[in-house]
Amino acid sequence: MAKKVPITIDPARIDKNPNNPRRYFNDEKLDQLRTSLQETGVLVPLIVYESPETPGRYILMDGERRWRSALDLGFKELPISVTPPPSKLDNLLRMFNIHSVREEWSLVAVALALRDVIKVSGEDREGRLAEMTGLTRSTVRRARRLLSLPTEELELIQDEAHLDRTEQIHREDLYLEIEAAESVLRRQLPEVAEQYDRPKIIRQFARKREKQKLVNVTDFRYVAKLVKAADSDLVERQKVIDAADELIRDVNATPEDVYERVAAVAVGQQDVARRAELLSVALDAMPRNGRLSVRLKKRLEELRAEIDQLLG
Amino acid sequence: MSGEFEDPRKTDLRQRCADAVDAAGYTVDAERTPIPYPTDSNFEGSIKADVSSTGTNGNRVLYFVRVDGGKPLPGWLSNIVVATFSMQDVEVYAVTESVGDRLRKTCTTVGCGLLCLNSSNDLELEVEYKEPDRGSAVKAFEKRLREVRRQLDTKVNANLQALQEQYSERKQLTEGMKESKRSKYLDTIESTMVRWREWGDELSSELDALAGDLDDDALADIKERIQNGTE
Repeated sequence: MAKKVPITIDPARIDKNPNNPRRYFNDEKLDQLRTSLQETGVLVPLIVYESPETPGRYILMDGERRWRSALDLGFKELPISVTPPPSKLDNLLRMFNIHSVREEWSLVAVALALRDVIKVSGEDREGRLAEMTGLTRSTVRRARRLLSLPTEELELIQDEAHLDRTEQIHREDLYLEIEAAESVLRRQLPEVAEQYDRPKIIRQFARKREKQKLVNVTDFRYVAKLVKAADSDLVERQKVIDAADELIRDVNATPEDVYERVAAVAVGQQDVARRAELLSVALDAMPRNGRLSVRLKKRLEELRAEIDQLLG
Repeated sequence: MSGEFEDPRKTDLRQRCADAVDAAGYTVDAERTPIPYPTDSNFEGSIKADVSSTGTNGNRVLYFVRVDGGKPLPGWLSNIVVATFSMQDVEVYAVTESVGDRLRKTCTTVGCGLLCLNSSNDLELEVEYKEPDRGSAVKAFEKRLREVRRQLDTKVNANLQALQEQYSERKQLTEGMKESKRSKYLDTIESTMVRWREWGDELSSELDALAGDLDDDALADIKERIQNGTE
């Protein structure tokens, strides 16, 4: 256990931890803390280590919100506890353990820190990464899916991570949906993948959101439904390839509209056929000379009329 | 200090505020120099404005930018304003791009000046900096408000600390659990921490707003909600 020596120093001698990936603080979220510090002072020491490169300067391990607030409130000195400089991996993992839950890192912040952990530790097994960082396996998985995005798209997410969710255009959940849709296209429709590279498809899909063409980010799930319609031979494969091509080329084309136009009717008919089979099995099981209830008889007569009308 | 970790909207607003003050003919101070609180003040730290200038009459004018003009004046800024009333030749203004009712009301009650930075980058006066008539009843209310705020801080911090400790010991606590259960356990800790933080932020903002309302019934209601916690 490291021995901690409590002293006070000028907060200007403290630098942020390079391994804490939080980029911006939402300013108003510090109001409560600022008022508290102004009225009672900083009671809990910040945890720091002395910079190996610049003796006399300290790197923050724990207490970033207090540090930032104290700077804004013109504090001349802050209590600190000094620990020995950690190894690079220890530093990364401590940032996870101290900040990821307490400071509500965004998924993109988690992903970037995780990328460093993978790089430094050489460990890339999902379960082991979850153990090391304290994240759930599903969070590790989602973070890695974000990391598979082109750097420029990651930057766009990162630049808006401090905004309220309603203000974000490049949301993490949008990109998880886009990533899933792109993966389906690449895996199931290699003809499309040959024509467009991954960054291009992802960019074109993101532009639909930028141009406010999507009702909901989950609209990208229609891409998988569209591809499934081809796989189930409900729609000609070429039609689905053309539809996917349109979705990528035309920023104004939405996944829902294209699905409705190309596959919805066929998928709907398949659904009716499946239900008709189930009804047929149920009717077969009924006794032939048994009495039908008035309600069932009425409903079956209505159904027969509807079927006659449909078949012409 | 502006820097990598500051909300970019605040950094931008601070710069635009400095430009507007300069364009209005005032000399903008090059540094954000902290000003000590008056000796009778019990506040920690010092007064560090986002932008400061010296007026033609020698007055020091301090500007604090607020990104969200819909929120009430925060407690820490109200405290600064009250402290400056006993200082000579200092004025304090909140600066925002869009002035909401709660901000205007709290500024008026506390006596904080309020400026709106319009799209032409001009500063429009919304509320004058002026010490209100703060009778003993108001001072007593402010004291009660501070006490309730302390209760809120204590409640939030105690619960977050307990959850943080639980999180720190997760390895031992989840040893032998199936992955799905472990995930659920960690998710619950995370979501509970988020709930406490959001609850604390919300009540803190409501307490800030009370500085404009001076409403004892509302204060009692918040006090009861603090006692009940997030349940």
